This record gives sequence, structure tokens and C-alpha cells, in this order.
Amino acid sequence: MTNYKNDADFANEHAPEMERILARNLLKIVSIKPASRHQDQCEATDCIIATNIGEIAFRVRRERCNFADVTFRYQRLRNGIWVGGFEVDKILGGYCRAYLYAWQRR
Amino acid sequence: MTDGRLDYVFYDLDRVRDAQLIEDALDLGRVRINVDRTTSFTWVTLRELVDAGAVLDIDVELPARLAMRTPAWYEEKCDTWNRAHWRGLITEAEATAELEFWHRVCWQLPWPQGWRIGRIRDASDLSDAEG
Repeated sequence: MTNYKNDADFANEHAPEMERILARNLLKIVSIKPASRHQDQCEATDCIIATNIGEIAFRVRRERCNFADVTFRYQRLRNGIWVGGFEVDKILGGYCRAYLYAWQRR
Repeated sequence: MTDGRLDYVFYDLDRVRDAQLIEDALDLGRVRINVDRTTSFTWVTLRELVDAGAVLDIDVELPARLAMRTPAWYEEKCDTWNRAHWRGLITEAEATAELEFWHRVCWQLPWPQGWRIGRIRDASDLSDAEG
């Protein structure tokens, strides 16, 4: 049975790979702009480094996923009642711009 | 793209929302109940993400099976056996055996029916084919 702790432990196992992937793609997802005079003189920076795609969420699927699809948690059974408020609602509500989505290789 | 143990894509949720992929999936009744019957999911396929322009960096280093997209017949096979497993109709071992069989078939069929197209394979794709 899956639960939050198992899922979190599984995702954390892949944190080093996630970092490598982000590092490899860094120049595709960040932009470096020279600071304005005001920023240089008043905000102690020579350049501004920003992501082009906002915050990046990360999700990794287990190797038993045999089909490279992208799933969104829709409902959960709590005390015998299906309740929403999970990924589907959060994403449709506008949460997050970009996803790094991975499938564990077999 | 591939990094060690992972195949991965970056995708853009704004495009997913603009294309109404999640709403369409729900309208189509794409809701899987997990095998432990405590969670349900809806899903979109990689093909739909690509078609909606939601996959970022699509032109760079995609492994063959993602770059060439998934043949529709193979998607249907995967969906059928995954659904059967998610619904508890067959065991994980049974589902895995079926999926591995069709995965091998897909690799042996020439593009566009399958994934066999030698000239753009690299070492990681070959190991995938053998797996």
C-alpha cells in the first residue's frame, strides 16, 4: 500500500538525479539579465538570475509504471468518503507552472 | 530525455490548462482507482502533452520511445492492462508479463507501427529495447 511516507521516501531517493537533471538543463530554464543601475547601486547585485518557467515541481513515477503517462491525483477515500482537493484541483486552480516529471527506468 | 535511472520531461502546466487536458480526461471518464482502493487518478498521455505543445525542450535528446511518440495500439494495450491491474482484476505479475510482452513487440515493429528505427537509437535506447 502506498502512503505519504513511502511516496516521499521514494521521491527523496531520486533527489540527486533531479539535481543533475536540473543542472544539465540550467541554461534552458534560467535567464541571466544585467542588473539595472538602481539594482546595482541599491540592491547589491550585478545581474538578475530568474527562471523562465517559474517554480518547478518534481514528480517521479515508479518502475512498475509501464506506460509513460502523467497522472493527477483526483480523489482519496477518507473515512469511507471520496474527497477531492488534490492535484487535479490544485493544478486547475493555477498552482505551479512547470513540472519536471520522471519515470523510473526498468 | 534520460538521466541514469530516469526518463524525464519538463512540461508546462499553463499549456495543460490552456488545452483543457485535465478537463477532457475527466470528461472521457479517465479515472483510475488505485489497487489499494484508496486513491483515484486521472491521466493524460505523453502524446497529448506533446500535441498541446506542453512538453518543453522537445527537440533535445529525447529517447527514441518518447521522441517518436507512442503508437496508438501500444497505448491501448498499456491502458487496458494497467486498468485491469488498477482495478484489482489481475495481479501485478500478470499485468507486468503482458506489458513486457507488448513492450518487446513494440520494439520489434518498424516505425511507425513500433519503435524499431536503427539510425536514431543510442546506447540507452538499445538497453531499453533489451529490457
